[in-house]
Amino acid sequence: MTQGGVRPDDGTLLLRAQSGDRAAFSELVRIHQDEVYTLALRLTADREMAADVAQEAFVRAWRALSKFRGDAKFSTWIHRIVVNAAWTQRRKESRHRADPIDESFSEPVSESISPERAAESAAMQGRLRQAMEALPMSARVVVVLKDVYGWSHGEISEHLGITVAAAKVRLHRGRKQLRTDLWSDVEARA
Amino acid sequence: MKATCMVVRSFAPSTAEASLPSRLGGHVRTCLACQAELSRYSKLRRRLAAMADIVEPAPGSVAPAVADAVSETEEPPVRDRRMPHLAGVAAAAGAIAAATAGAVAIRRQSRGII
Repeated sequence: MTQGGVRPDDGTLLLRAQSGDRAAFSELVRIHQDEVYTLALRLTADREMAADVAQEAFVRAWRALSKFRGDAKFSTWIHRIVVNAAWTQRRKESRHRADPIDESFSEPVSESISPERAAESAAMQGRLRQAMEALPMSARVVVVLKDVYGWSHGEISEHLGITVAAAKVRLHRGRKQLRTDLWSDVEARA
Repeated sequence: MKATCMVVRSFAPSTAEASLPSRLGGHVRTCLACQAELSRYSKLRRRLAAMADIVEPAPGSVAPAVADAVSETEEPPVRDRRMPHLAGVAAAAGAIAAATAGAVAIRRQSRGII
């Protein structure tokens, strides 16, 4: 969808999509699909469900495009839709099965560091990833939104439909469990 | 573990948002175990924040599935066309107000009020 090698910015694509230009919307999907999928994966810890959530979020965004007034960035807006879609999806799923752990979920390692640091970082990230997966969904969502994406407690409470106090409690419990999972073996050896 | 250490541990997960009560600060300055505990939570938050820079490639199925779903939408979303009109009216009203205020100011200045 680029013209003359210059990629249209999100604002231009949004205006075109809001006029019904499906190709412009597809370009927005192409640009943002990785970050949307990554957020969905962190929230759900399940690759298949994350792909479903990402698709659902983009379709919801398309249907709601006329309501988007541009007072936030498209990426911020779509992230909020992902959170709502993941929350809805997870609640539906939890009625049918227990909290699963997707063994294939792994965080890629940044490529701009030395092999030794990369290995160390991968080990740390691997342990953190497992600890995150072990968290209950209710705590994981709050930890991801607050500590990874920097949302405020107010934003979290608004989008999850919980009180600020509940968000704080879930964050506190989530961090506490992560700390225990990450360092309990070190303490046991000491 | 001392009772005070237990209290510090109960506060530790939330020290990023709320500082420790002052009565615990003196204890932490002299307790290596509590310093280590608070340090673990700092490390944890740094690791979590670092995850924000890592992006996972979406499966190839996502974009085509969205394109299919969007193509099946009967009516494309059309932005409310009244908004540019309303924005124009608001801009014109603002310009008139500014011009009026300017004229009043010039008149007052010429009368020596300002």
